[in-house]
Amino acid sequence: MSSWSRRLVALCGASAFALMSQAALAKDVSVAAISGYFAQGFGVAIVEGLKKAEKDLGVKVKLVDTGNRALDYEEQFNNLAKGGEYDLVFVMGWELVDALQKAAEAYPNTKFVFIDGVLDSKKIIYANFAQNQGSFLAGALAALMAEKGSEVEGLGDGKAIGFVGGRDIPVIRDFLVGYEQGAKTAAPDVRLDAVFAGTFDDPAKGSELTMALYGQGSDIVYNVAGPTGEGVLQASAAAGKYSIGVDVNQCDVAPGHVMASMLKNANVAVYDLVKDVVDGKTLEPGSIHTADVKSGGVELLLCPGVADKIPADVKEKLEALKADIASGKITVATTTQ
Amino acid sequence: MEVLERLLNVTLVIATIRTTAPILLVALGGSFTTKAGIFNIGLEGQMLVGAFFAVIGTIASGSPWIGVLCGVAAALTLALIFALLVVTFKANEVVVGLALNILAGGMTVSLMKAIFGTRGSIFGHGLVGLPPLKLPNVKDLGWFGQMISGYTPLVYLAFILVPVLILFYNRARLGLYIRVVGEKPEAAEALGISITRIRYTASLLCGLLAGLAGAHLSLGYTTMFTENMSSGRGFMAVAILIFSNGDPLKILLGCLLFGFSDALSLRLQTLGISSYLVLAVPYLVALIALFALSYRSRPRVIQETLASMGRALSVKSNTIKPRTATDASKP
Repeated sequence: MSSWSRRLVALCGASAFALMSQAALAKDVSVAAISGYFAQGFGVAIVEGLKKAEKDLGVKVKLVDTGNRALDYEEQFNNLAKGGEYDLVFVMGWELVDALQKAAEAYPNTKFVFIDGVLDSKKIIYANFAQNQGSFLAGALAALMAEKGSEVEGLGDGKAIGFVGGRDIPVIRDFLVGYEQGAKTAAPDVRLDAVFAGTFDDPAKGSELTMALYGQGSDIVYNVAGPTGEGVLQASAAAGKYSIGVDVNQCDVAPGHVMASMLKNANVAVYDLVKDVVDGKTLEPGSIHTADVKSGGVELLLCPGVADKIPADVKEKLEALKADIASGKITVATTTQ
Repeated sequence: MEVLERLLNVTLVIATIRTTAPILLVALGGSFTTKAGIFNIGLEGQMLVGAFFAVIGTIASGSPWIGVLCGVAAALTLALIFALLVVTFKANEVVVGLALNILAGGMTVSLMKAIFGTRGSIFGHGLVGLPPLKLPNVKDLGWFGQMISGYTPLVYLAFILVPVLILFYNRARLGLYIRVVGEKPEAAEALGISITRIRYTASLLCGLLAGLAGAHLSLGYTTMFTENMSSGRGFMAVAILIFSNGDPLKILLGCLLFGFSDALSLRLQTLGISSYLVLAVPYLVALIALFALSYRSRPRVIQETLASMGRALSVKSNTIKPRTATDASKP
C-alpha cells in the first residue's frame, strides 16, 4: 500500500471518528437541576422545561431536591459535581447561593447555571429574566385600566395604581422602574403609589398595605413580594378590587380579582440553554442569558375571567407596546446592570 | 390639609384595629404567664404552630372552626411542653422558649414539605377562612358602624378579652392565685396553693390565646399559611409584656399604639418617605411609649439604662445601632 492511500485511510478514519464522537456528545448531554422548590411555581416550570429537553433533545436529566436540609447543601453540590458527568447544573433558590459559590470555585469544569438572579461570581452562568420588561407591560395594563376608571366593573376614578414590593432592594426596584415606565408611557396622568413591606414572609402585612393603597385611590395593585404578595392578592378579593400577580401564574390565588400575571417562563429559559449545549455552543462562565419579551421568556398573562372585562382598545395598546419592546423601539430602564 | 385627609380617616382606624388584634390576642395570652412569674418568649412559636395547624385542620375538615380548634390544640401541646420543661424540670425559660420557637419554625416548614410537597406557602386546597361578622343595624351608625363592623370573629374576641381579663385578675379566684404565685410564691405556698398547678394552668391558658392568635393570622387576617408568618408579632408581644407587667389595660394600650403606628407608617410610605425609615417607626414608637408607660414603676432601671446609654454615646457614638428595635423583634 502506498503512503498515499494509507494517509487517505487514516484521514477517513479520523473524520469518521470525529463524526461519531460528535454524535455521541450530542446524545450524551446530561443536565442536572438542584432546588428545594420543584413542586411549586417556578420550580414546576423548570421541571417542565427539562422534561421537554429530555423528550425533544434526548438529554439525560437528573433532579436533586434539596428538601430543607440546610446543613448539607454543600455536600449535595459536591455529590453532583464530583463525577463531572453533567454538562449543566441548574440551581434555583437564594438559600443555595453560598453552597453554589463554593462549588463553582471547587469544580471549575462543571457549569453551574443560577436561575433568576445574578451574583458577583464570574464562574457561574446566569439565566436571568427581563422582569423590568414584563413589569412594563403590567404597569401599562394597570394604568390604562385606571384611566378607564368606573367604565370598567370594580374600578373607581382614583386615577391611581399601586405597587407592593417585598423589600427596597435593587432586584425589586427593577420591577418597579419597569412598572413605572410602563404606566407613564401608557397613561401619563395616572399616579403611582409604591410601598414596601420590609419582609417577604408576612402576608398579613401585604394585605394591610394593599388596603391602605385601595383607601388612597388605587384600584389595581401589582405585588412583587413573594408570600407577602399573596396577601396582596387575597386583599384584592376581600376588597372587591384588582391585583396583578408576579413570576408565576397567580390567577388562581384570587380568581376574578387577579387581573393578570407577569410570568417568568423558566421552562423557556431552561430549554433554550440546554438546546445551546446540545447545539455545541459554549456557555461562557460569567455570562448572563436574559430571557425577555422577545424570546417569550417573560410575558404578561391576562387572567381568564377578568380578561373579558378588559376593553379591546386596552388589549390592542398592550400588544403594540409588547411589539415595540420586542423590536427594541422601547428600551425599558433597569436597575440591575 | 389634603395630605392629612389622605392619612387620617376612618380606614386608618379600621387598619389600626386589624393590625392590633393578632398582637393583642397573643399578648393577652402572655399576660397569664407573666402574671404567674414565667418569662415566656415562646409566644412566637406557639402562634406559628397555631397558624399552621389551623390551616391543616381546615383543609382536612372543611370547616374553619374545626381548624381553629386544631390550631389551639397544637399551641396547647407546645405550651404543655414548655410548662413541663420550665415548671417541672426547672429548665431556663429563655432557653426553652427559644428552642420551642426554633422547633416551631422548622417543624412547620418540614411538615409543609411532607404534606404538600412545597415550601413557601399554602393556600387553595379547599381552604376557607373565618367569615367576617356583619353586625346588624350598623348602617344607621354611619362611619362608626363602618368602624366596628365587618371584622373576622377573633378580632372581636381579642378586644372583648381585655375587660374579661381585668375582671379575671381582680375578681376570679384563679386570677388572684396566678397573681399571688407570680408576685409572692412563698405566700402562695403558705396559703396551700400549688405553684406547679397554677403555673401549668397559666401556661396552658397562654397557649390557648396564642393558638387563637395564630389561627386568626392564617384564617382571619389572611386565608393562607406562610413560612414564619407570625413575623415577629410574638416577640413584639413579649416586649409589650415586659413593659406592661401583664396588666390587660396596659397591654391594650401598648398594642393599640403599635397597631396605630404600624397602620400610619404604611400610609406614610405613599408620601415618598423611605420604607426603611418608615418601617422602623412602629417599633420605635412602641418602645419609647412603653418606656414612658413603665417609668413610674421602675424609674431606677430606666435611669440606669439611660445613664449607661449616655456613657456609651459619649465614649463611642456608633456603639448604639439605631435599628436595634427592629432587629430585636426578628427571630
